[in-house]
Amino acid sequence: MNLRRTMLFIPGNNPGMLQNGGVFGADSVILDLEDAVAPQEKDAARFLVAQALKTVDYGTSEKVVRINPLDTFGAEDIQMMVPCQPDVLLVPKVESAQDIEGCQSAARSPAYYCGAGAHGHYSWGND
Amino acid sequence: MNMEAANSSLSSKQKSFVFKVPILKDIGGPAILSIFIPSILVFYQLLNVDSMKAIAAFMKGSNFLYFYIACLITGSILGMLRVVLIQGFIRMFIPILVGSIGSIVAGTGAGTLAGHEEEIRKVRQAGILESNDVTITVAPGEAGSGVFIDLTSIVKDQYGDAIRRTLLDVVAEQESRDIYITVADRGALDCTIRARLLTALTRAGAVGKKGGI
Repeated sequence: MNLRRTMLFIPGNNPGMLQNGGVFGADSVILDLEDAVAPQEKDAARFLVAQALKTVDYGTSEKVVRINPLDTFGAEDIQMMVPCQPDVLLVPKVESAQDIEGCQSAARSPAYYCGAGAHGHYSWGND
Repeated sequence: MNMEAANSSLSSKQKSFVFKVPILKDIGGPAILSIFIPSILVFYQLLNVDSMKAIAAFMKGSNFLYFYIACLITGSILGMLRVVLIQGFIRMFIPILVGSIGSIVAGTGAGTLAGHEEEIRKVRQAGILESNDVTITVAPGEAGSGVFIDLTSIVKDQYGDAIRRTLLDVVAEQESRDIYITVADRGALDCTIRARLLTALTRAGAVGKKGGI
């Protein structure tokens, strides 16, 4: 597993920041669909992050997408992000194992935990 | 008594001018003049600009106008004779009730019947006017009108054609047709343009559906 000393959060609905996220050489870039995006713009951010994952060069940075909790927009986020092949999905507000299991079944792909972050964030990836 | 005399003399002085003008005297001159003269003063800028600002702030800014209109309507209703008021209300009540219920039923019915049609005939927008972003508005075009792109961009000379190609690609992928696309670009990259157009089309209910939006 790669070191995660620096993790650069990038608001998911800001094209100017998304397209330049790779230039700082952070260990991870976190394309944020959750806190940084207004509820009525979630759909726009999802399209923008999906396009960014496909086209923007993030260099050696690990590509992380912070999705919404499953009880809000999480399922739609997972459905749209998984085909774009980010390295990690970061799940916010995890309170129980069921939350992670829910995300796994939503992703419908073999996945395993690869770390627990601060603020109850858990993430997993296919690496 | 004195007050009344003063009032009547004042109003007769005011009226005397208007009621001597040939046509105006027959069609309610005072009301017409009190509306049109201030309008003319404002239109030809004969009023001092600061006075206009002060009046606008008082009438519009503080919403005094609403209070005035409410007073005017209430005043004219309460100024009617009690008997006329009651008789009028009794005669009007049933027609008004029937009319209101009828229009609610007709409006809701028409909306419900046309509901599905409405869903795919929306005007929707995505993106904001910020650098590196693009505002895209999609609206349904007339049948057979094809895809029309109204493009404004700070880099139109350099990338106008490329932007059009990208937009047409996305439209073709989604198999939409007969759309009017308005684009206000502030230097967005290709991926941003694609994302914003997809968002606007999705919001308009056109993504994944064949045919027009």
